[in-house]
Amino acid sequence: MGARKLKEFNLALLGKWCWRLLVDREGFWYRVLVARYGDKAGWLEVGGRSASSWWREIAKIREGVGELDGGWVAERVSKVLGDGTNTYFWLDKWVGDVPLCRRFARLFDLSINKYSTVAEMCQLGWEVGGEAWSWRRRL
Amino acid sequence: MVDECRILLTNVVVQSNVSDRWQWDSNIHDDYTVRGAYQALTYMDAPACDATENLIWHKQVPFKVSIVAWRLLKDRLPTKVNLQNRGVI
Repeated sequence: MGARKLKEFNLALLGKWCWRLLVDREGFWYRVLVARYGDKAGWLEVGGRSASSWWREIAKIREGVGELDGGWVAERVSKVLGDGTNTYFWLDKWVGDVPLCRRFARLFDLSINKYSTVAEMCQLGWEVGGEAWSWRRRL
Repeated sequence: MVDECRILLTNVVVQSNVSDRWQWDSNIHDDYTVRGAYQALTYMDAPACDATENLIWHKQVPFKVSIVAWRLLKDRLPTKVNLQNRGVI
């Protein structure tokens, strides 16, 4: 009869918000939310307990906080590399199945270029001995 | 570890004049659709949830035990971390 599982259908509808807030940067709601909560490494900030409950709900779907079915948006999206100026080397998922900050958690921890883009890291040089590999202490 | 990371980067080509873009689910090379997301959610969620629910809410399990188990899975037990998140301590 075309009946749907309401919980999942609701998630799928709300998930579209998460997606649109990533890709539609000119859109009205992105501009409202970025003015209110700010942006960190290309993702809108969650904003703590004083944030609007609507926005906290969306952020929960995006990143998943303590929910079994949360976080599936962050799991599924990835970056397709172009010039690399808009992709975060460590934080975005752009090469492999997980972000490099998770795959190489210890390197990320020691890196001094945590918020560098792929373009910046490439320019610094990621070949052997390249300057992209700068650490807080000797490895 | 750096070598392992560097190997990943060997085939990476940065293309000037092309913008980076977001991609939804690299398996289907598609834009976000509510239909696709709904299908993915119903497909992956069903077994995991049902299995635990049938075990927790079993007739022979005392009610108080069911509730503690349910709170555990939802991470709603008053642990130190949770109490801190809620500003109790």
